[in-house]
Amino acid sequence: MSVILIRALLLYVLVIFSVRLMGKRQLGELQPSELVITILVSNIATLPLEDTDIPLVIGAVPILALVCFEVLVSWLDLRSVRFRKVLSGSPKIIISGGVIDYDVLRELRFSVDDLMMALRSKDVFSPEEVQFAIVETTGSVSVMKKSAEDTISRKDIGLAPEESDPPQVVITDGKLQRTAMESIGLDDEKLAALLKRAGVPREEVFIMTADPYGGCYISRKSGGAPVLLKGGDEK
Amino acid sequence: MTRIKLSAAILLGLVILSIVSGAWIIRSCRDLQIRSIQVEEAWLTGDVEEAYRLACLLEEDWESFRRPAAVFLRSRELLEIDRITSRVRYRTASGGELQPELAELRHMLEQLRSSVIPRPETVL
Repeated sequence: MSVILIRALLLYVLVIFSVRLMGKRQLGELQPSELVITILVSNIATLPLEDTDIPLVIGAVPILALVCFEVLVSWLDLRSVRFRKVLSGSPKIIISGGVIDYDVLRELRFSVDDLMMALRSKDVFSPEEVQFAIVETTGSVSVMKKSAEDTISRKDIGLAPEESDPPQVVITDGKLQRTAMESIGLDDEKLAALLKRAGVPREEVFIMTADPYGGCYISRKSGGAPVLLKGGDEK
Repeated sequence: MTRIKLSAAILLGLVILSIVSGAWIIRSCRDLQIRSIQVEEAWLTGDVEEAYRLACLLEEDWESFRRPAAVFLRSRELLEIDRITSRVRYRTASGGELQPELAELRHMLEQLRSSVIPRPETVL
């Protein structure tokens, strides 16, 4: 029993290391090769775990080898377009100017129901509204609506674009977050001034977010309504 | 780039490990086969004492191989050879069916040896 426990711990460390080695790309949408590796790694890891007759090395070697192959293949993938096409395929246009390309649809083995489902997930209820729809190499569908059907933007109605940086959490559970403070140009002095303006002592702050323009949100440890301050352009 | 270098280093390490461990298993199995032949030859010449001494050495050699080999090989593969080597010493002393035991031992060692050599039949 203790052998299995130790093996489980070692394999856990190994699998975590392997996933970290593959990188954050792995945690998002999977490319075909990444999907294969994920399935293989999870299957191989269980073999030495449930059968103590199999040495741990026999499980560890293929896991490490597969993950290393994947990292090296993804490196080659970045360097060669031809290699990328062979390995991951290429995006396919299935709707162009509202017209569905049935040949591509057949080639991808995409049914009309699949297509309509993918469009609905993009808030499109008729192919007629679509200028371009592309099936990406991950299998997801990207949709570009026709201009007439698209959501109106600030630019369209001639409003000045408002570029603003997001607020940062500068105090959590009463503790200062120095990195976040630096990123919005907030020093101790300015923070004290903000807290004074809000009328909340620092010891009382549970969460405080602040933006570079002097706005902030403060939630007290004692509860109650949060304090909101609107900022000018202070940065 | 760190990931790529690390992956390349791990792959290189795995290749070296597989070559070194394979070479070690092949060499150890060959040594054990030679030892078993020596036991058989001594026994056939009627030198039971020498055969017994060599059988004890064979058992010792196997023991010193088996422990580290368990890291790379399935214990099922080692268990059968383990049983035979533990019987050889007693067969030598009692004069039982030593030759078939040694032949089987050599055959199993040969199988073990060839299982680590990458050939089409072992790979496929």
